[in-house]
Amino acid sequence: MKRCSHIKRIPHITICVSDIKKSVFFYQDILGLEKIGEWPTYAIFDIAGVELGLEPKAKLEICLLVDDVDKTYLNLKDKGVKFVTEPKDQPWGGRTATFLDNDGNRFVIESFQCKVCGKICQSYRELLEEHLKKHKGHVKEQEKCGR
Amino acid sequence: MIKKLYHITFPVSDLKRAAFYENVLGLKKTGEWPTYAEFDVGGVQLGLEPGGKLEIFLLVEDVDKAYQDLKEKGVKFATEPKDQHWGGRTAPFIDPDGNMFTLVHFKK
Repeated sequence: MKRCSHIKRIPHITICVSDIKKSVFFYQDILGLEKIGEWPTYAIFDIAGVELGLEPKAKLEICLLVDDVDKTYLNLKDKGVKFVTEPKDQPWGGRTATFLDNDGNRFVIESFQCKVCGKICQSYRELLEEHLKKHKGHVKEQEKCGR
Repeated sequence: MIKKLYHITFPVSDLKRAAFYENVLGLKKTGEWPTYAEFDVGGVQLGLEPGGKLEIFLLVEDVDKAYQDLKEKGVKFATEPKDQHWGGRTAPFIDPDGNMFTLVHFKK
């Protein structure tokens, strides 16, 4: 069987917490992790390039970075992998598809392509800080990015 | 203090099913034992353990120092720092929701 070599690294994992504010204090102030973002139902921390996401009522999700979610989806689907969601653009900027391993563990293949300039980013942080924040309402910034 | 998210262990029912990770996902297997299999995913290790629990390993310079520091801040540790047969020194702790993390360093 031909191996799928699309998976580049683990950019992100999401774990379940009960209370975002309480958890932000623990991860930021006690463990000393750098917070990348916080929303009412999600918070992200950086651990030397791997992002740790906290979400109430979430299931554990391990994200696998690929350049092209759709290609990897087709490749894995051809091999019989069970997907629970098809490739989909997410409101936070990435594109994802979720599959289960044989024991029901959840994995998310994801890519972080900037929809303004087309750059394929290597992390959500790069997409958020280098593209989403800069492009937002700034045509000149978009031009700088080649569009 | 925390240098890297080094390793994630999560449960599987049967290690024979680990073939999924090697043959279907195409991950590189870095080790296999009767009750454990380990894969490399771009520098982060993914460990599979029958009956295991989710455990996230955080690499630190010195487990004992990090243990003291976090313990003083009220972090609940499951065990004190301990040398492991596989060469690491570890100290597992839980977050406020019971998620398990393990501090680890490797002897020089």
